[in-house]
Amino acid sequence: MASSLSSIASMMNWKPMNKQETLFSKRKPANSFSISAQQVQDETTLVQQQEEEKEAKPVKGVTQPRPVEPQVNVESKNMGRAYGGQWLSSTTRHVRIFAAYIDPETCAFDQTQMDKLTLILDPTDEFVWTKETCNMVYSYFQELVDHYEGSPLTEYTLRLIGSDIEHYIRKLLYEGQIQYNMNARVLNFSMGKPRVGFSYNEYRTEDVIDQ
Amino acid sequence: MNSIEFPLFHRTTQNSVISTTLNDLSNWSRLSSLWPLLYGTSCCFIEFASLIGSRFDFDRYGLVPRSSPRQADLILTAGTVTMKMAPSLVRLYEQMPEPKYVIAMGACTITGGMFSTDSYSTVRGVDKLIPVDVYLPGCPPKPEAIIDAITKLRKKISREIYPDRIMSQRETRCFTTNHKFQVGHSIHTGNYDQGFLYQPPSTSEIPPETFFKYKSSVSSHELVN
Repeated sequence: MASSLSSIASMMNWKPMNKQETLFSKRKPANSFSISAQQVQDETTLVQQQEEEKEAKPVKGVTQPRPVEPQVNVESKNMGRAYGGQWLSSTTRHVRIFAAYIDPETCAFDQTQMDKLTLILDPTDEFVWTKETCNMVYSYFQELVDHYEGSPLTEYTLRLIGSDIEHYIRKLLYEGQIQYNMNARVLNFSMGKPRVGFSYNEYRTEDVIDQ
Repeated sequence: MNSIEFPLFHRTTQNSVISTTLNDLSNWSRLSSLWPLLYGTSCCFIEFASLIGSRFDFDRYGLVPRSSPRQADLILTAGTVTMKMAPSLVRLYEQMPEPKYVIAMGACTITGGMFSTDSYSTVRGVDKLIPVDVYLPGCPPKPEAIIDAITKLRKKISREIYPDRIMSQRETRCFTTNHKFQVGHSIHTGNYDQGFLYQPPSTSEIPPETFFKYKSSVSSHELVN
């Protein structure tokens, strides 16, 4: 009952799925926080100011992820031979982490920048993602990367991070913050079939100390 | 919980006789010549390979097995997928050009199968890695069952609507962050003669001088003999 009500409620709530808008606004965080003027384009400043006013109040309890400066002239480069010429990645259905810098627009894959990790979220569109839910996952990713500071850059660490993010996405799904995308080509429900009349938050057991 | 949502699309195409006929034509042409990737990891591949033979010929459905993912449009994941194989499978899937379909063949690729209880390295179901169109149960499924799955996939393709498929081409959600991991040089440099570069750990019992002496005195072809 709860899930059907929430799905009706979400259908009433018009979420902007216009491709142009989401593409445009995705570029905004990187531009709005950078102080250096080299990346700012003239035609986007007006839109940035409007969107900054809209996003004046952040979501409660969610830290905004720290953006990275966007780069120009990124070319696809492989890892140097000294590092084995390999690529380090952790790939699952919803989370792809690469030890490289991936340009958001051109998708150039630069592996020589080994101090960067790039997360590609849900390339198969199994869930419906909004700006807020994307930012929740990105900030969780950043917390994890900061937590794993000092560990060796191997596939093992990337897979640990990847599986933690998958668990987080599953938690978001159980709490109802993200939903399955019914317009996807395949309906796998890979994180559990939709259930009626069951709410995750009701049945959470509290830790009982005196037992 | 696990709620669903129908995101609104701005559908600008009109349904006319000509567009539906073209749609049917393109669907028919795609389902009649599904070229599967010659992929198999364990026992299910034996059943898949028997389809190529004369008894259960699958060329009569238009299926020609292709060795390169760039030329394939169907991948029948035949065989258990372990965590070591998982990135390679996802890479193969990504290298296949659209439109592409996946049949998860056998119990191992649906839910982990016989490895779902105690294995430490099997991926419990290939839908944790790639989107699956048809699930084909069996351990292993008989070749007739595989043909049944292919028939069901063909029926699924015949119901597709081309504009929906184009419209659902997505934007990439990409996010980059800096990390402070330790970057180490790989030991796989491609040089075989690593005697002079090898750094023995301090806890090894062989003293480093004797180790280097042995390495330099015996050349590699003598070691082979």
